Amino acid sequence: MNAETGNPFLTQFRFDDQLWVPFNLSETRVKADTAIPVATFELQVGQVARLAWFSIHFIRLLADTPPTKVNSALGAVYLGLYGSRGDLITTPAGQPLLYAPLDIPGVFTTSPYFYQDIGEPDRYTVLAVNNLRLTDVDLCALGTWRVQLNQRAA
Amino acid sequence: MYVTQDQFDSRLDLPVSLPLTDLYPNQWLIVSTIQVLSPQSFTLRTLQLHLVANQDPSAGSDGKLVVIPDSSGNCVFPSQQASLVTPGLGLAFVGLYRNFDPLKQPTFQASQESPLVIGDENSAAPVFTLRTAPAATFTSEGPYSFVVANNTSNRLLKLVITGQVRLNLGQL
Repeated sequence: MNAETGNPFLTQFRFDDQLWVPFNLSETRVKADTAIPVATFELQVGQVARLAWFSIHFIRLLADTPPTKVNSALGAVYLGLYGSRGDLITTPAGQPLLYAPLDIPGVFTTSPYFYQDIGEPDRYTVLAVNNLRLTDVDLCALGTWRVQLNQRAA
Repeated sequence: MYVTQDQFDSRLDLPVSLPLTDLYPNQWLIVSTIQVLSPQSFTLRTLQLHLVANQDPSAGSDGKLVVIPDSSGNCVFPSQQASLVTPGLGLAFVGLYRNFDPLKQPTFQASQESPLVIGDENSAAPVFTLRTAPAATFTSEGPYSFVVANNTSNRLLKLVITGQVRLNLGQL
């Protein structure tokens, strides 16, 4: 234990009990009104996970005329974290659990200093979504899960 | 020196990953982008580039090339030697750019370090190259993009990229 901060030093067991599970979608053309599953992670009972890094790069818009959104409440493109309660794994259902939106080309990263720990067992999917009608986009995505396995010590 | 949980939590490993991808002549694409905001920094630890195939872009999916006689009845076969757009950048290269403009050629933009270059005019796939420079740390704010580019005007390249950066959030 670090006496000054009360912050525990990592034992080998505690180090092995934590995983970084990264994902990377390199530049991809996403068609209008389409979602691409980038990563899926199934959280088991007792495990706790957080999205330690969640980032989207909206590279370019392929449009000659101003595009319109399918869902006006959401970004033109976004990276969304969804649980399994959507109708289809590739169709975004409502507001995502975690959300990285952009309306114009650029880069958006959720703050890694303010995160939400997820403990509910479920299958979680990261979707890269093109929320525009009739307009394709190029985007890439990057992120990593930090998972606490919470195994029992031998 | 021991590591605390907070120190462990403040270091993230992020991938630089491109699955097998066709890159046509003069084409480039962004592999991944990392946005750095103060007090964050990241260190490029490993980067590897694998040229799986080097083909004529007009060949069919089975690799066969059909040549039709010209008006004089001659069959002119395309050159098998790659024609490089920019000398010194091999058949393809991966560069790290800050504030990369996706509308401009990577060769016209300043990279953060020497690009990782693979192959030359006479290379036959498969070719593999590994970044051997020491780990490099970047601290200036901005979006950093790994960009892979086909530096030929007449070859279709099939490439795989594998790499890793360690992001430091700057917290204790």
